[in-house]
Amino acid sequence: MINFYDPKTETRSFSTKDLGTPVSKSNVKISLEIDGVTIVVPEGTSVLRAAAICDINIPKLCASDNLAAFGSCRLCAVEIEGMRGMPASCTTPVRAGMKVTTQNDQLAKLRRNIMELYISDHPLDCLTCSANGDCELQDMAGAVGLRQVRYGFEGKNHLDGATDDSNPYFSFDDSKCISCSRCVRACEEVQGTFALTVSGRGFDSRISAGQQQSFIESDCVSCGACVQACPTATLTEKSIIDHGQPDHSIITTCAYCGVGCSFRADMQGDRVLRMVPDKNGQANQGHSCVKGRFAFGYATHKDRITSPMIRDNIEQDWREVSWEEALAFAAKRLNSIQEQHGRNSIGAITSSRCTNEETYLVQKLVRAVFQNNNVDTCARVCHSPTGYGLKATLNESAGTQTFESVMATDVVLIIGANPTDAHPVFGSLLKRRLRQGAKLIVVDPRTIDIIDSPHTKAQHHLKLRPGTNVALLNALAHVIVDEGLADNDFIKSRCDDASFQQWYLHIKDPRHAPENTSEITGVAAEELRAAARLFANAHNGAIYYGLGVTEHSQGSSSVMAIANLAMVTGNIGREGVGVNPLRGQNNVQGSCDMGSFPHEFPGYRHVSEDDTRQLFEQEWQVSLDNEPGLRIPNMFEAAIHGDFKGLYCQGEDIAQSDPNTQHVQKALSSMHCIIVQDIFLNETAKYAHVFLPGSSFMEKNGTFTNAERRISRVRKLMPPLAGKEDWQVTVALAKALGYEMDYQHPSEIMDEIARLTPSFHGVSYEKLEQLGSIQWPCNDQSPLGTPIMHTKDFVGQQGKFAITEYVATPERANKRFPLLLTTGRILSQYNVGAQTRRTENQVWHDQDVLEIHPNDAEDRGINEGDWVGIASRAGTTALRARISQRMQPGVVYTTFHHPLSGANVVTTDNSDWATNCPEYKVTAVQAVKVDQPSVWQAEYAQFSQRQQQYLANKKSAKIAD
Amino acid sequence: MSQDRLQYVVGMANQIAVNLLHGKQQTQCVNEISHHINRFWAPSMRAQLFEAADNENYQLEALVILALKQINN
Ligand code: SF4
Ligand code: SF4
Ligand code: SF4
Ligand code: FES
Repeated sequence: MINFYDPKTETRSFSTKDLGTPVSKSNVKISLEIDGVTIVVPEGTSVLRAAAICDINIPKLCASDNLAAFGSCRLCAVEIEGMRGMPASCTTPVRAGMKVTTQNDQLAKLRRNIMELYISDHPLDCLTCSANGDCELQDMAGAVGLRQVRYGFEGKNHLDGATDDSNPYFSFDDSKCISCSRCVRACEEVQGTFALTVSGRGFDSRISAGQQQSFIESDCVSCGACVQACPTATLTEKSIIDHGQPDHSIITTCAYCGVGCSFRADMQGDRVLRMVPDKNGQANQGHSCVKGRFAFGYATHKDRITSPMIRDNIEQDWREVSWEEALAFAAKRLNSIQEQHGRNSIGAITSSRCTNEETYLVQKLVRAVFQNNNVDTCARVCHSPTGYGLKATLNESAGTQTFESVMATDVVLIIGANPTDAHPVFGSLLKRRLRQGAKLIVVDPRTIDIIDSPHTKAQHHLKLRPGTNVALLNALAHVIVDEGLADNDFIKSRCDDASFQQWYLHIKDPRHAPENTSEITGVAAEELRAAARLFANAHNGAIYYGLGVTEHSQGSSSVMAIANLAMVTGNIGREGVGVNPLRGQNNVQGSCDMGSFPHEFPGYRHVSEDDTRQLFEQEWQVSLDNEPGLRIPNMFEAAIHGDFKGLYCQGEDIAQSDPNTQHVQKALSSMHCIIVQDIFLNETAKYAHVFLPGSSFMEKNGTFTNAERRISRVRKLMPPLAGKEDWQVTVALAKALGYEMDYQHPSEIMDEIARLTPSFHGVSYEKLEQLGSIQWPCNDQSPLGTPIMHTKDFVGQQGKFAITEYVATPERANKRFPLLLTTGRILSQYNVGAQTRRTENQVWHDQDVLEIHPNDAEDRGINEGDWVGIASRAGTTALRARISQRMQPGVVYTTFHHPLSGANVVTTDNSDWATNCPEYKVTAVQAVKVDQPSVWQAEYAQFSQRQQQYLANKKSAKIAD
Repeated sequence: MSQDRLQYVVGMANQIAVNLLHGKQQTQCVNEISHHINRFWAPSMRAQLFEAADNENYQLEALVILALKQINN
């Protein structure tokens, strides 16, 4: 029998099996013989893996196929013709013509002896052990036929080792540790945190977090990679200790960030026991972060609201009602608003947390049933400039690569993104590439972790002033053009010449020279020139950017400047390069693709295009409006002036996430019918008249699309607590408004999307089952999807250079507001925190703080932990101070994960010129020491308390109409 | 209609103009400004822009005024 190795089929056919050592990507094929079976594998494959591929399973303990072979346990010993002794098969690469024996008496004896030694220092409580049934040590004892332990258990041992329970999600039981160091290597190789160490040698070697610290005190970021790697019960999820082993598993997709990790949900009945990153997940390749891995308890939190509620006005008790009553109430209000105030007086907001199918239905409801185009999405406030800027230059509103592509990158340029906190799994992959020698340039006003973390250092940190991205990007392009570093072949063959010539004249002007822009950006000319040269000379240069680019008054200009930079250096259209927006929420890409913008149908086609509109009119059997609708900030503005009265808000908390909170609160309080569909009574729901209980990602079927354009399935793990999946609620609302949407399953919604959208023509649930996931465009030209975009042309066109002039934001520091506030995110919390605040993740971040440079703090007499009042022209709030060298003097920083922090009370309604994406990243403020929270905070705390009471009274409430 | 509200659209239109005016001929700027506003602004906002143009209390950038001819009312 001959087994042929094919890298494409291997992962699928050996889907969950641990093959012992990592895959080799070599194209050279080697043929060898193992126990008489001939097998052909790529050069660099280990003997252990080659054997496992043809189902010859050599015992192993210290090896795992996501870690480099280590060779410490010797259990995988084999005999090889012509080689002396019994080499470890995990550290022995295959050679042509090798003849390997994996089983004979000698080997069996050696393995039994090794196991005997391990077991003599291991508690024999298998029956009551949490890993019972899922323990590799137990399996190996069985496999080698261990029957006796001659050494006895009296000798020197570690059986009284202590247990470290400090991490909220997993525990470390030292007595069960066999010192295989898989955990240590997982923390280094997979996660890149280097939090674990082996102390002592030989028999005395022990594992510890940090320098003999507890896990919670150490640098551990609780990603769970070590827990997954551990072959024993030493590192185990507390949920497994509490409830036992799972009885079945379902593959689904994380609902937190734009990495879109695939998970195996381990279940007991309809209880989720644990989430384990899916080895076959094409976005995450078996890795995860603390949020997706552990922070899912919110889904069954006691704050979940599971029945519909209505009320006449917002200073009234909620009343719990049936679905029919709530929907009839909502429909009646929306109808009467439209009768009184016109067709355009209502609208809806879709969410990047909901599935593609749900988002699609909400925009369909607005366009087909509300009969206007007043639909927008929370992506407005994060990545709308990406949509605009990439469409204008690269002719498609999406990132160009896979995450995996970074493994072929030589120089990485990160602008306004903090991957280790906001996109942790990509952050780990990036760190791995940096450890292999790729170079790093970071453009950020703060010293973020990736600039200086274990074994990775940035070559250049361009620590610019907030709000000067465009000036800096222009300067980079200027140097490249000026010093003759442009990739002229690429520009000639791939880009539109007229736009290039115009841009070239513009960018060559000396005002863009770093010597002249350093005044604006605060970045020294020489450093900038060096960074530009490094990037331009790279064989493969890739740009990664995040909200630090988009959330500015020139967000769209920055995105276009990034695209210019990629084109002028020829870094588009192959592995290892590209323009990579790191999306915030899980389905930002999907919600944009699904037509959530007021000017676009699904697939980014303008509402004024007659052909497209007719297509939708035919499918939906209604006539559609050909004029763009209102964007979120425009809706608020219209609400304050009495023209916009009704809003259907699915899964989005605009009252907390949108800037200038007081303005938003005023807008919300002016409306007559706010319908909130969510799993919790979020901040927006405190202004709502109708509450429709939503379902978490565990309670529904659908798809999410991550930052790589990868469409992955979300699968229902348990029935929806409130009885309806979110898409069913929209269907029911449409029906109450007199419009039938006839779907039995979300797959039928996807079929409709595929029918109507060219880039989705080839997508179906069936194909998703076959392929695992699909990166759009997926159609007749590319039936299996498109991992790397723009390999030949820019969706049928040439790339366009865009002129991006730096225009200073009106938000400048002055006498009254001398500091610049910028905002961001941290690892353990997610966005407005509605989910993560309802989990144990609180132990890492229980409040938002204000980071301030020591000089600025000293000037103001502020000490660590003091209350600091922060005032801008929009409002005032107060936070605790954290003195931090990461900041530059004159710049302060906070996060907005907690509603009472009121970070957005301070942010203003400045916005991006092209898309109205708010300028979260720059607000001129003053900071002073205070002794208590601000007036706004006190008032809002009272308001929230009142609203909680209205909720508590929901059973007894009466309502007038 | 309140003053504030017109100021809101005037501010946005001027911001668009300031960001589009560099490195091009005037015709191209005017085309880009009007195209942008036609494409992304709801009709109600465009109506407010025309209202502001007729009201001397509001200062529209010269290029925006030129673009008005091509903006759908
Ligand atoms: S949880 Fe992650 S970061 Fe913490 S020790 Fe384990 S591998 Fe390292
Ligand atoms: S904790 Fe687990 S993975 Fe780490 S050395 Fe001990 S047994 Fe091995
Ligand atoms: S939050 Fe992001 S990185 Fe973390 S598990 Fe979920 S998708 Fe992956
Ligand atoms: S599995 Fe090869 S030495 Fe441990």
